[in-house]
Amino acid sequence: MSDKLNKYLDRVMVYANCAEEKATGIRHELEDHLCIKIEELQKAGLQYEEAVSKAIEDHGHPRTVGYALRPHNAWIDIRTHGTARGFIAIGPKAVGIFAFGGQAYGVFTLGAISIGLFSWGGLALALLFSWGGVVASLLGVAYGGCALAPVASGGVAAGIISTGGAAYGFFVPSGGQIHSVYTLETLPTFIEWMWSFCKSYIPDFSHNINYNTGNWILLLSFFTFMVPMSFLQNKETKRLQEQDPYFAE
Amino acid sequence: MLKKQTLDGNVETFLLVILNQGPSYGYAIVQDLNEKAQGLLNMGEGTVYPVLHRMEEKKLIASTWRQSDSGRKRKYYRVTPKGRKMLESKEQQWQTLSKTMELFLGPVETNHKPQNA
Repeated sequence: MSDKLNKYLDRVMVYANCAEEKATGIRHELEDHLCIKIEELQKAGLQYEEAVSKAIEDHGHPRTVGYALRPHNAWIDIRTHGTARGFIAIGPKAVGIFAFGGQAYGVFTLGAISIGLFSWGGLALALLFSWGGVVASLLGVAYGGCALAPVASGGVAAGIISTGGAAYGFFVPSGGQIHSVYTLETLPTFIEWMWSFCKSYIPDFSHNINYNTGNWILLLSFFTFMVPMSFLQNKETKRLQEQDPYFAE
Repeated sequence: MLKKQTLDGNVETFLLVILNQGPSYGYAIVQDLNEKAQGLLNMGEGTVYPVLHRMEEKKLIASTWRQSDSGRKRKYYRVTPKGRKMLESKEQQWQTLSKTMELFLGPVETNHKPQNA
């Protein structure tokens, strides 16, 4: 078998990254396919090396083929290209329970664009909790430069209850420039209930968790998420760089 | 122009159709697939294998290794009863869908144009 063909299969298997027994079977199968193809191309008049190149080209980029061979929805899926899917998913686009990447979608998500139940990121949209640059939460709390949520806190914040540099809402307990529909004395029952909850449990509003403590908790949660994810991502990138000589292509 | 996802989402069905004709191996399956698709299915040949493996995991197809004439090991796939059942269900769905679409858009052969165009 040609050296070029061997190297191609090596690269496919690097990206497939599966257990040895399974990898051997896959490799035999792909090798058989490529060898038949080369024989057919030679019969059609191509020189051996030309036939090898054409067979490889038709087979697909090793990264595309290798990644496609990975199991769907694995425990951990880390990719340098395309969409990672898994319990823990890390990639340019990541979909998972814990998702980390350029675009992250899932339950706990961290990314430049992050959409989930609990989201951290540049643009973070969450159902329950979001923290980052521009953030929004549909049913819960949003902390960020610009925050929009039932309970919002940030540079510019808007919500049912909000606080911040510029805060707009039905009830704004504190802030720089504020616009509050109700005062503490005129609060409707529902907002009064929300406010008592915020006072007890949510940083910025709570007496127990003041502004600074709250920010430390948020920062800690952010780094607790980011550090192991970044570590796993770097480890995988290094593995690929070491094993795929054409990694950068 | 047909969207790529529309065809990609049905590759499993295409493979079941091919394998329902009898056991076959990777290269032959890809050739049959390309022949039947007449250039409409623009997939790298290598990307058919992940679909086959996924179908095997779902027990829609099963495989056995045999020795080929060239001496190389070759993996043959065949449809399982579960796969056959799925294929029948897909055929029924397609017949219902195509009949309904024909009612609205006319038969495939005619160049139907909207009346208000």
